[in-house]
Amino acid sequence: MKVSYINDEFFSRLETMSIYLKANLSGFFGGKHLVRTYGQTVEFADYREYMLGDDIRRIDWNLYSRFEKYYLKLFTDERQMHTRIFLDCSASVGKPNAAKGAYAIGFAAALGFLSVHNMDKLSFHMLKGETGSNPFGTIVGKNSFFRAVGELEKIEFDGETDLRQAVINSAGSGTSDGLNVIISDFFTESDWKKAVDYLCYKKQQVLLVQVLAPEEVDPSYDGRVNLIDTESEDVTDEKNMKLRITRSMQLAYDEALKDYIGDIRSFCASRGADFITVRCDEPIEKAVFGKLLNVGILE
Amino acid sequence: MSLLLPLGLLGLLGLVALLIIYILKPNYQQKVVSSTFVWKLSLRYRKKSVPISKFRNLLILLCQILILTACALILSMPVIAEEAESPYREEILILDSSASMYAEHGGETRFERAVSRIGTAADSIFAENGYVTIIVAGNEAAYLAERATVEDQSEIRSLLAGLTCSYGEADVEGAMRLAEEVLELNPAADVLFYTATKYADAGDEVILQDVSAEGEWNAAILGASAVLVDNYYTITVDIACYGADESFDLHCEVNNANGTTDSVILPAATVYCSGDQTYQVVYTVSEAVFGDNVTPIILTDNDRIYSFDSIFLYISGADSLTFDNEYYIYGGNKPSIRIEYCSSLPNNFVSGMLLALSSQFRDQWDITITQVNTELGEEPILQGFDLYIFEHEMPETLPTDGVVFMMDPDIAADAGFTLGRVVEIPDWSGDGAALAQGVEHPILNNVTASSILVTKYTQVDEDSLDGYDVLLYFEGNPVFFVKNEPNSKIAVMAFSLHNSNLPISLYFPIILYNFFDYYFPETIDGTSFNVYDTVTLNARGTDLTVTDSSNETMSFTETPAQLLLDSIGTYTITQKLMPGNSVADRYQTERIYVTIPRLQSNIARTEDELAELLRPAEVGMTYDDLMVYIAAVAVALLMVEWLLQWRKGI
Repeated sequence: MKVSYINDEFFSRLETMSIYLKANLSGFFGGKHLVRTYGQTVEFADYREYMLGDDIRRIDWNLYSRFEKYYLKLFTDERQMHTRIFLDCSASVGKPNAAKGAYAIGFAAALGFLSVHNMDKLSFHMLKGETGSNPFGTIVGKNSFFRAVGELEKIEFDGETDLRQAVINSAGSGTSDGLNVIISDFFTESDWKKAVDYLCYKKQQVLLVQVLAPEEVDPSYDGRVNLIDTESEDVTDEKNMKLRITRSMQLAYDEALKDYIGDIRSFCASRGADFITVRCDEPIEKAVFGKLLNVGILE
Repeated sequence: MSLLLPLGLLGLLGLVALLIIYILKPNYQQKVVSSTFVWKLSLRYRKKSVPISKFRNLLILLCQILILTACALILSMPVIAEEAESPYREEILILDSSASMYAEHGGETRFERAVSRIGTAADSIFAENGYVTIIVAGNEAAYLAERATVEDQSEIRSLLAGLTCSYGEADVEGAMRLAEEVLELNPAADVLFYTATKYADAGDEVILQDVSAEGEWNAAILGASAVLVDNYYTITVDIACYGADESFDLHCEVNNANGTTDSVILPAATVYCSGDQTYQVVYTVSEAVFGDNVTPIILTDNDRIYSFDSIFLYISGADSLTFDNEYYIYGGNKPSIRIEYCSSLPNNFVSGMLLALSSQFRDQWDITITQVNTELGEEPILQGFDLYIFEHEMPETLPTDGVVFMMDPDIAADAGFTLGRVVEIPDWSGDGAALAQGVEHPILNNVTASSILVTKYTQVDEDSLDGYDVLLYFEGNPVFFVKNEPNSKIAVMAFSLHNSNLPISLYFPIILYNFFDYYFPETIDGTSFNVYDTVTLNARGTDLTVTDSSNETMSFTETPAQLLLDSIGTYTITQKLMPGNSVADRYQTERIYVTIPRLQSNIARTEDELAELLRPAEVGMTYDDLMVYIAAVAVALLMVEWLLQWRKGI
């Protein structure tokens, strides 16, 4: 059964939110994001002493009357950002639990809506193999967004994804221009950390969203099990495993998953990136309004 | 442990079901997962298995098998059956009364020792007002006292004092059956067996009381035989020594050797016997190759024996058992049978058959044949023969000191029947007309009367055949009849061999063989026997008497007779032969030697197992129920199995 989280009610709730981006981004002219640089808005930011070459029309003469020194009055700047959403389209995200893939799409759509709602540019990058396709181009405005979202639900999850290569290949030439979101389960042998390093090198704000299915968090099966990986080619593939799952094995799994998530989190912290992990059986609102608010992406 | 309901063990079939479940249990179930990435990571986190984990599955299976077994046992109602405490003491004392109990050491035989100990044991029981049963396991087991009480104490003592040991085997099996009869009344009674025989497996029910003494040993002549080889006797003697390895001399004395009244003493043989093995000493004239454990004595010309009255063998040595130290061989002189064949027209059929018979019975009789041809003027001799055969021409008076066979008689003489005319059978075809059988008689064994054909016969008045048995008839006329009375043994064939197909048929030698066997039966089949053997005695004469080694005489008026050889030593069998008209009484004397069974000479033997004694379990038993304990074990096993399963899930 096809699962969908995208509906009008969901988007109407998102309208009250906006994405908070770091102020050190440069972005593009226009937009609603305050940045650290001073601009021509009407919102006061600071004073500084006059220097040769400054426009004398910006001297605050009231302060001169008081201090007999020339001070300039500075105003904040607002920029338009570019939100890039990298969606892992490998089989592990969409199979065997279709809810997981639908959840990832819903999450991508939510972030995309927030971006276009804040007059930012938006692009969806579908990562598959070593490439990341951008089927909708740069989306500006809600009309374009909703057209794209309609197509987004038709994505097929299959095969493997090399996150590192796919992200690098599809990231484009933008530098310090916005938020880059990678949505995946990160259950891959590929070195996704290089992808994050690459994005950080490009001075982008990075958010990693790990989507997990309930059975991945708490596998309920036991006994002698032949585990068939959805990304395997056949039953003899090395990715498949024969295990006798015992309680101790389940505990080892919990510990391994916990350590893996901790590793992702600590890596992201070291790179200044944000990271959240969500379960697809949780309400998507809880993830968006809860976890994204907690990490400060939303405000 | 006993099972009150053995059918409950059918519950063990559950084990089969368990094993089938284990065999059919699928090994791996397939499970599709999004990724095995974390599972691979988790392998590093898995705790190392402790060694018991490797055997956990095996232990679980073992526990399950034991649980099922315990359940099956519970269904079978297991109990421990114990004999109920008897309110009084009772012992069944079995006395081995076999010949080996005669073994003597220190002035006391085993039998005396056993009797003494039984007396002491009985007194001890009587002192406690208990019951005593004494069973004597002799040739046939018998009660000496059955459930005797203290009131019978003096009688028991006198019975024990008068008890003698047998010379045969001990009927232990019979003694056990008698003991079981007593055990039916009191299953708690102790059974004690006083014997010197060792048993590898004596069972649990019988307490063995060893009555042997240190230092006992026995040298024995186990058996001996004399066989004619190349016209000289070869004497073979089996000897052995039990309980010790000893060297001793075997002496051999031949009485009345070679038709003389002299005794020949053969060279003594010195034999070293060891390891309870049987050795042989062979006195022989031929220098053949002999095997191990055989000591050959080659006889010189002076020592060669072709006939003897008896051979006395004995060994020297002060052993524990004396009466197997000597042995007698009899039968070296065969009784003689003298036959006279008197005919006016002798035929080769009769004379040839007589020669064949003398050859056939040469081991039994010494047969001599005298032929008289009256046609040539020779006169028949009418006394001094054991068998007279008259053909065609009969004497006026028949001899009375032997069997008379009248073939085609011309007169009846004094045979007591009336002879008629000679009748030619008219219209016969082939070889003649067939005869018919009269009474069933040993002489006609294996003979078909209708196959005997005649063409001419002499009529006999059947009414005159007083005392005769008619064996063959022709159309109601007796043609072959016999009489076997102590002083008158007559057979009459009322037709000529010339007028019959009998001499050329198979039945002629058969009839003559049967005739010889009927009138000259072998007195006894053999010359040496084991004690308590029962032998059949036959007699050609009358007044058969048997005298045993203790000069006790038994007389038999009818033969064949059965004789139980109940003592060891030489038995002399004497019969009175037909005396005749003018000679003194004639007697035929034969001797046999009776000895103890060979096995009894082995006083140090060990039997495999003692005869089984079945002690009744139903009476006087108490049962301790084991169900609770087995249930507890089953619960404990369930706990262990659950624990293992739980540990397996961790």
